[in-house]
Amino acid sequence: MAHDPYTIMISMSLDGMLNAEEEQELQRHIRTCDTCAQAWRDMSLVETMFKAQPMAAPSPNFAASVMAQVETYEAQRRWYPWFALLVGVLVVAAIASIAGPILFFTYGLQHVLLEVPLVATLVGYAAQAYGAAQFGVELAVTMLADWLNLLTTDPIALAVVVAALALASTWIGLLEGMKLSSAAMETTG
Amino acid sequence: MIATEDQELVARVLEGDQVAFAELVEAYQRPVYNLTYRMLGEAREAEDAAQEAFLRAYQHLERYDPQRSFKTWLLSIASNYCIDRLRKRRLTWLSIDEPLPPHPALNSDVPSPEAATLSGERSEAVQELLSDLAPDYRAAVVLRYWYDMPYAEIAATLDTTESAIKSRLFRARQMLAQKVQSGGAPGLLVAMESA
Repeated sequence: MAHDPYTIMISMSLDGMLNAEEEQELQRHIRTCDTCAQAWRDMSLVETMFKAQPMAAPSPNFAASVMAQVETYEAQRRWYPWFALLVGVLVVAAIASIAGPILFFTYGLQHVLLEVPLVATLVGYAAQAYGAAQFGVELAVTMLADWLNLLTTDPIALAVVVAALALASTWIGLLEGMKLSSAAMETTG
Repeated sequence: MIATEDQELVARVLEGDQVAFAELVEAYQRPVYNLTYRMLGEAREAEDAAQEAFLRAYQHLERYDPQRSFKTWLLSIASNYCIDRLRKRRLTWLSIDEPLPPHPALNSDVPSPEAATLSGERSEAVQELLSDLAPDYRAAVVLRYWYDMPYAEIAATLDTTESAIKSRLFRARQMLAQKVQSGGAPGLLVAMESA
């Protein structure tokens, strides 16, 4: 005998899903079939066991923990748009700083921009400032090179520089010594 | 808590009132925790899962349909989260190729929150039986027995059809009965004798 239709009916009966006629048919079958009667007893046992179990309860601080997580989430949500904006600005700035000059000079855009008077004036000032800075650096480098060249090739010049440095350090030492002795006299006096 | 109260609280939460959400947590912490505990079988993991379910509900509250029961929606989030977690747990166990550990409820070093109120033997026997069921079947059984949900509501909670639920409950009962018959749940007999 096929038991499957009746075991399905047992399950439905336990859930109250059978009508009166189906329920009677099932009970008739169970009385004559040991296999289905055993299935009925086992499923009923499990049913009783499970239904006797009360709801498990969480720890007493559960609700507080949930609300703490909600608060953290809210704080992150408040800051997120600003953080996203900052990251966006930084990314755009990084791309512009690399791609901008390349596009600017690749497509000759400087001529278009230089037609705007304000831009032309600013570029003019920037070019003058750049030229002045370049001249200053070049002059300093040349002077330093000349001095180094003079010191390494002319012993008299080297001796004069060394003597000047020695004299300067002696004077500095004497002045510092005088300051210290006067300070000591003030404290003892 | 009645459904209309829930809708009012949800509306207040959507307006930025966190106190209203705290009231919802107070009202549904036990049903949600019971679901995660019955699904996962371990107290600490169940608390984490229940907290995650509430947090997800808060994050996606604008998706909640007020025509639906808030409790059903909340349990739906919790059960789906537990099903995912059980599937991942199973994959982890299989991937490390080790014998399956004993059921967590039996070797947990964390005292169960329900230990003070529930009979340990009966609870362990039930958890032992549940732990052998596939996650989808387990969810259907838990929603049927502890929440007394009709097939239609279980189907809505688990986002499936009534016939699928009918089939899952039948298969689950068949497996549980076979386990009882084969003496696979020794705690069950002890528990029934003491019941």
